[in-house]
Amino acid sequence: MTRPAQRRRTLSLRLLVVVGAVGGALALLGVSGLADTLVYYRTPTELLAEPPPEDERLRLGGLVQVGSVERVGSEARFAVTDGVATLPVVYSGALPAVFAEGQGAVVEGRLGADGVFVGDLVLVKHSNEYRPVGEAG
Amino acid sequence: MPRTPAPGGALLPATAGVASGIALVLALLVAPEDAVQGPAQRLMYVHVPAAWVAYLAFATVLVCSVAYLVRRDLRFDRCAQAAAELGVGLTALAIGLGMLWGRPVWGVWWTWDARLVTTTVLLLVYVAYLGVRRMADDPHVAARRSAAVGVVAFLNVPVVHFSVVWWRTLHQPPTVLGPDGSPPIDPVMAWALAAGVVAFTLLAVLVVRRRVAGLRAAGSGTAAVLPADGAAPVITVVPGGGR
Amino acid sequence: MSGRGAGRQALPAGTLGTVAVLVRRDARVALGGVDGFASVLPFVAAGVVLGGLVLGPDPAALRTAAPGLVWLLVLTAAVPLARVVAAAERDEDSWDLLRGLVPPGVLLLAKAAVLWAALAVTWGTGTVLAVLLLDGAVPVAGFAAALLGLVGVAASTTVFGALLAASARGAGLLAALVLPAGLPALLAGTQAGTAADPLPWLALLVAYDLVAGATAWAVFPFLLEE
Repeated sequence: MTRPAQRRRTLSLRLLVVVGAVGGALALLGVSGLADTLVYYRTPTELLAEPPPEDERLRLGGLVQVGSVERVGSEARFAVTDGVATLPVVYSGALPAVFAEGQGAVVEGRLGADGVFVGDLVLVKHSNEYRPVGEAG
Repeated sequence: MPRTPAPGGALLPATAGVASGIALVLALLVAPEDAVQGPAQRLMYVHVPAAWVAYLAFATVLVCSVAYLVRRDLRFDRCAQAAAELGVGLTALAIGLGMLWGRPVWGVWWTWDARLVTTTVLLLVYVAYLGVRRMADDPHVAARRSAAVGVVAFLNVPVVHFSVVWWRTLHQPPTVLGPDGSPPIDPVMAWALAAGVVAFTLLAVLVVRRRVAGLRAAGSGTAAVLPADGAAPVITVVPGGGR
Repeated sequence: MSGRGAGRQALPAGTLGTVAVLVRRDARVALGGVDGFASVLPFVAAGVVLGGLVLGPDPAALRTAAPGLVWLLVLTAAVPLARVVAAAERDEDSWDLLRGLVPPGVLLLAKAAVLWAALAVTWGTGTVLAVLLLDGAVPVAGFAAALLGLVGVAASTTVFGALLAASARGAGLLAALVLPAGLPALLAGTQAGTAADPLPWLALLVAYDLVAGATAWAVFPFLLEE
């Protein structure tokens, strides 16, 4: 039977190895550029730099450009920008209640050959800021 | 009260009750409505404390598991079990409230976002951990196996927390526990959140302590040994000791 | 653990010899036992056929889903394969004896090596079927991802197999543990075969192997002392 003191030494050695392995794994992932691969959405700049295949379904994310939202019948047109590049979006369907110009949005759909992103689902993305009504955020 | 285990036996429930009351008032009445998200944002005052205290509970499982492996004392095993049960409940609560919040604010109940997926995996792993506890009849065998799983399972927690920092997600990055020093949150809202965290932590300590006492009573087999046990409002419904 | 006792003569001297004996014994179980290929390979074949029925008949959809379907089937098959870890010892009732003779690290290595090979065969069978039935393609990166990713899956499955060694109960629970533990392999293995640049995914698999291997090594001895 091993005694507690000896067990503690063995166990702390083993846990140290685990922590080391986790650290090594994190360092490896840090240099591998995986963060650029595992993304929920892509930005206009990325989509313009590397146009995806036409039939590929993807998500476009950014800020809804101020002054760009037009509603024509059941269709909505707006532009999504990341501050560098801007992509026009067509979306047929009801926009979420909290959707607003200047706010973040993620659109699911396909990028057409004419450079217009045809969306079929709009999600509103929120920043991590929390401000009361009436206070300019 | 069950048997007063420590001099401060009645102090903790009272403090937890008061803290919960203060947190409720702050969250529902005092804190201002969020400019963008509207009233749905108030779910944050429960969602975020539930998630944080779940992390805390799983960290407790880790510490108690390691302590059991070193000391081989079933006290630590009971502590790990109680903390894991609490953590599972709080994780489920955080996911449920997150879905309730996501429907009006994002527009969907669920989406394949790194934070959502990793949190659900975390919940599944700890549900399985609770299952592993019941695989063996001998309490020490069950304790040793579950301690091993309890150590491994904790690897999920940092992945969940940093998922929104490492990867570009729909879920917002951390506001308070973020990398930069000044959290972008209104001070009153921050106080309401802090009150929620304090209330949840106190309630969690209370729940875990009662559950540990219940497990000890169930584990010792003959419940009649403890005279006060019959009157104790301890939750002893869940069969403990791996039967 | 000091397992270099008197009963050592049953096993050949040296770590490599011990590993070889253990590997041969477990390989026999995987090849011929009820829990080995006899049940796992038909399961994978049925999975590919039914998966094709569910996802088809659009050939493009089948081609896209093929690598992920194979990975999902391999992870599911890891649950019965986990029984191979202690099957030979359970039949001979020699688990206790073995634990006393072989250091836990060596035992883990031998068991994980057999599981890795068995999982690789399972993945290979599934992939061949996917190429034939689902019109799937297997780039070199997909192969490399499978060989790499299955190391971590084998390490965690060995731990779960040791959990099962002493009791027959709880096999279903393994699915709830093996599937989440294999999630990085499933994700990266599927993506490495299709992504334009597979290197980040292969790096993720190496990181996964590192963490899974280290944790398996750290907790394995505690599962052995019964």
